[in-house]
Amino acid sequence: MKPRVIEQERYELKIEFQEEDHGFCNLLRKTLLEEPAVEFAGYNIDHPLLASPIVTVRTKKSSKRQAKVVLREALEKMLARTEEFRKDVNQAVSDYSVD
Amino acid sequence: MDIMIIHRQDDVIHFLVEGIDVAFANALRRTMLTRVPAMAIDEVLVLENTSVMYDEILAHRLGLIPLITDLESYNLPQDCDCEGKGCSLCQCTLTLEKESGSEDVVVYSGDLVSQDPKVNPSTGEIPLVKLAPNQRLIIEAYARLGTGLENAKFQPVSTVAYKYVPIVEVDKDKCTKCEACVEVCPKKIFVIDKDTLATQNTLDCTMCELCVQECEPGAITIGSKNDAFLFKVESSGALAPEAIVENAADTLKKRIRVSLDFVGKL
Ligand SMILES: [Zn+2]
Repeated sequence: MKPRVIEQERYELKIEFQEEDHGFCNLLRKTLLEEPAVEFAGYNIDHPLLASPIVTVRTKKSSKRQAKVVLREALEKMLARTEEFRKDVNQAVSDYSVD
Repeated sequence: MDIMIIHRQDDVIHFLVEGIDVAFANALRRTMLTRVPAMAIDEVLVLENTSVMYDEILAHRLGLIPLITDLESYNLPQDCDCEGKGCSLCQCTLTLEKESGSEDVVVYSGDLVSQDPKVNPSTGEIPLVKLAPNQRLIIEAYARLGTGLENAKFQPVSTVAYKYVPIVEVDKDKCTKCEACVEVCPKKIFVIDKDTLATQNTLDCTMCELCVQECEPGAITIGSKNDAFLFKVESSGALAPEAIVENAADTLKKRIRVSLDFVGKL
């Protein structure tokens, strides 16, 4: 995972995530789209052999929400969910071994 | 989020996760396939090979043997202090010596002798090559950690799949108790219980909808939940199946953290 900014404006952000794949990018895209201020969120992989997807996020100007803030919030949401999953798996595994 | 382990046996784990979406389920699946490290033979020194099999094919077969992986004691070569040259912290040596006497001998994965007792083939019953009388094999092999991203032989899983949670519904008013569905269902979901049609083990339903086709009055409907997934993780023997799930969650967390650090600095 090596992120790099391709384009940065107040309401639009393009970031390349080197070494990443559909798993991470699609999750990020879906999480971004949960936010009503997001006008567009998507990712593109130029060639299947090149693992360097570019994620684009654009927010509505009327919402006055900066693209980088929305992106940060989406990543925080993803992290919280993954942490919850990690904790619950641990719990489920220990519950199962007790039974 | 709610997780329940349905079944765990040997190298397989089945679990149900409620409260996640497809994107998360798929991210998890892809992480288990390509990002969780496992041991595999990556370099082979053929000292003697008088069998009919070419050295290259033999090396390829050795590479595909699943090895029991000890993630605590080994580093990924790119993270190792030796900078990937190979040292005792990122490499394990296995040797194989076999000679046939006057009769044919089959060489198995169990004939490999490891320098580290914790790193061994997960099963000793994988045939590698057959030796005719008076043929000999002397091999030194170097195993290392890697990920499925590099080569599929490093995948710790043989299967990771998820499916939607099926909902099997029977309209009692329409059902004529013809028992056609009881016959046709390959998973034996339907039973006649005290003169009414009942369902059992609905999680096993593969949603083939044979029952819907067979049911003439149209009493059966098959649906699915969209926020719950049934996972099946089958380990190659490299790691315990629950360890693979836990490690995948940790790996995914690490990747999200790296991008969060980056985005925070913008
Ligand atoms: Zn090393």
